[in-house]
Amino acid sequence: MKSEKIFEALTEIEEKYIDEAKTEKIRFGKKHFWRWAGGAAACIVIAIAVGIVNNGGLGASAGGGTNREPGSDYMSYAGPAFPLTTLENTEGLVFERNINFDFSPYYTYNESYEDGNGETVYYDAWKNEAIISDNYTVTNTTDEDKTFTAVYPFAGNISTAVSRIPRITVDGKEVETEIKIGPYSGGFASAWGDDSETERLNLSSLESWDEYKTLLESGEYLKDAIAENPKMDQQVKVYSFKIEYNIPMAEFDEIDNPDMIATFDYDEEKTEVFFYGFNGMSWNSEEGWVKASSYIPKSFNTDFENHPIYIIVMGEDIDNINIRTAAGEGSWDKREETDAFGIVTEKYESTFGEVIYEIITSGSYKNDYFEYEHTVRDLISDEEYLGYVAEYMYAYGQLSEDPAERYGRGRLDDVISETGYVSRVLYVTFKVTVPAGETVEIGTTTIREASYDFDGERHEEDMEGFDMVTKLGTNINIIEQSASVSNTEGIEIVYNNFGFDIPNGITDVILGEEEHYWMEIRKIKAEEN
Amino acid sequence: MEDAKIIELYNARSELAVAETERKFGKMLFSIAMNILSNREDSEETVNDTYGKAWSSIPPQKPDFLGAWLGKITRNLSISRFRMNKAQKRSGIETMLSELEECIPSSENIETESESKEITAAINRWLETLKKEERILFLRRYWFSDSIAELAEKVKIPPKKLSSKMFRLRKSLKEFLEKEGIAL
Repeated sequence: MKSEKIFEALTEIEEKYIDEAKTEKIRFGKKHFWRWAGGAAACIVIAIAVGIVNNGGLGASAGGGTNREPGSDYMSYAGPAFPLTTLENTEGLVFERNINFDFSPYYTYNESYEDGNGETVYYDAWKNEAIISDNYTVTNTTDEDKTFTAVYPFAGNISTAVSRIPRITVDGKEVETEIKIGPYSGGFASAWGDDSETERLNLSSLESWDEYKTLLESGEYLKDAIAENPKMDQQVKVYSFKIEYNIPMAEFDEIDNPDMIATFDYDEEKTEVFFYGFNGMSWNSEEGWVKASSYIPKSFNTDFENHPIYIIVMGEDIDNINIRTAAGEGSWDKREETDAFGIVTEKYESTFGEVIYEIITSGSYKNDYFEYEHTVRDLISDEEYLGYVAEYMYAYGQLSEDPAERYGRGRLDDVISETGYVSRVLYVTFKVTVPAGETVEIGTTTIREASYDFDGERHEEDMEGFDMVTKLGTNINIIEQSASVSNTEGIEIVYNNFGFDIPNGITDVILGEEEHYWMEIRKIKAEEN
Repeated sequence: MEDAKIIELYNARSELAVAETERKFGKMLFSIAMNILSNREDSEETVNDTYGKAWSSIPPQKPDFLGAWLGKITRNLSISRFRMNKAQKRSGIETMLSELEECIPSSENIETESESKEITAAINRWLETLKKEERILFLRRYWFSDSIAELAEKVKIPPKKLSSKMFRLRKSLKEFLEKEGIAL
């Protein structure tokens, strides 16, 4: 087709045009580009001036005005600092809260590497984190001792929780804590990026504190986090495949596209099929056949010595299963078989949960996920992780009554790994006793990443955000809340509603009745600092 | 993260480079692939292949416009994959290709087909003649493969009006290519 020629020729057009259209993408929607283009440049100037006035009341405003609403939605939102809550009624206890944002880890530093010529090359590396100390003075106003289970929430995910988990002290001494993990906090978007109930293909994390408010306000989310996870005790037939390399790895590495190809027939009405370790698939639901291929790892793949491949069948068994090797280019049917490796097939019966556990504890999965994250096993056991996979599977996977399209073809690789990295609210719980008439200090220390945009105005201004909420999800009686910032030498607070004003020495403030306090900050560049 | 910093990470052979690339451009690249392939698995694989290519190309390459450079790779890979798939699948690219048929210059007096590079150069010259907003519209539709409905929503123009604007742009390209002696 001749039009394909134009379509292809377009690919190589000058990058400046592509960049122009890429960059302008955001502005089309938010700023009504066509009205700008119609000669309304003067309006833009006015809009910017109004921005400065509007932001005058928001505390320090060193960077000038902005058309956007500071402190609002982020493309990558780390979530606010939440207040402490408890599992029991805490009548007779009063709490005072002080939260400090320590910016000592928020800096740019020099790193180096040696290039191919043995010369040292220096480059800027950076950390966009703050240490948040969220501390509570608890006074028991009654004449009897009070013991309660304190619950401290934080936004994050399972895979990185071990480095983000708050450290808890009571009267200065570190205490033992348990962790409770809530369900996926976000939703899904269509392929085009818009939030969608009908086409749930992409993950869509929460982008504003309002969305957290909707999630946590009723208290049901915390109940879900504390509740036991479901079991996956469905009976299944398991086809497990092991690779046997028949030639030295150095030779195998030279083989073009080595694949295991599995084909089988099944009745979609009577059978649910799950896959693990497969990379490609085509199927025909009406005719009832599946072709699936699994890439055979080479020596440079971390899991080449232990690469589990599974077909798991729930319901009526699959028919006419054929397993073969393939290498080289071409369509599935035309690719030649190879003797460079063989496949050993084992078939057995089990429960769905037991097979998933087998996968989670396999060498491959440890390499792919757990060891990459280093110490996540210190936080939760394999059995607990299995529980979260089950919860996710029942909520969005093929065990759900309404599976998300993202997991529609039974590819377990996605569900198992995404259980680890989808966003959630996690909770550390610990026991506290406050003797009658006395006071106890609860300290929490958390390392938090900044919230940021990866495109648009805020991104161009190098602005990032930190925020906190004062009431959301808590049942405790907080009589006073104050906030402070420290180690601010390398940053400027450009917008905030706390009332911080670093140039004028205001770094410690008593908070009012706002539910949400936020600040947008940026690094002071070397020449300015 | 700034593009220059991401390129530094590639130069330092830090795996963070790929993570940061994905974080900054993943959605855009997926959308380019998806608009052509209309298949999530294929699009994800294509985007992953893009990261692989970026990893093996930087260094020595140092793109001036990282997003556009990555987008080109994704677009090329998507077109290749589209060719492999087209016998079996219906894809989002088909409508666009039929629209682009209107840009094909009449070649009655020209005996040899123009090379792809010549066509690209001519399109570059034609783009230079456009107003910025026209250029962006053309690229959003035929480079990023945005659908008319999606684009209409973005630029707040009724779809019918946008379609007629696109028709005029295609006609203008056809005339320009004929004037430049381009044959397909």
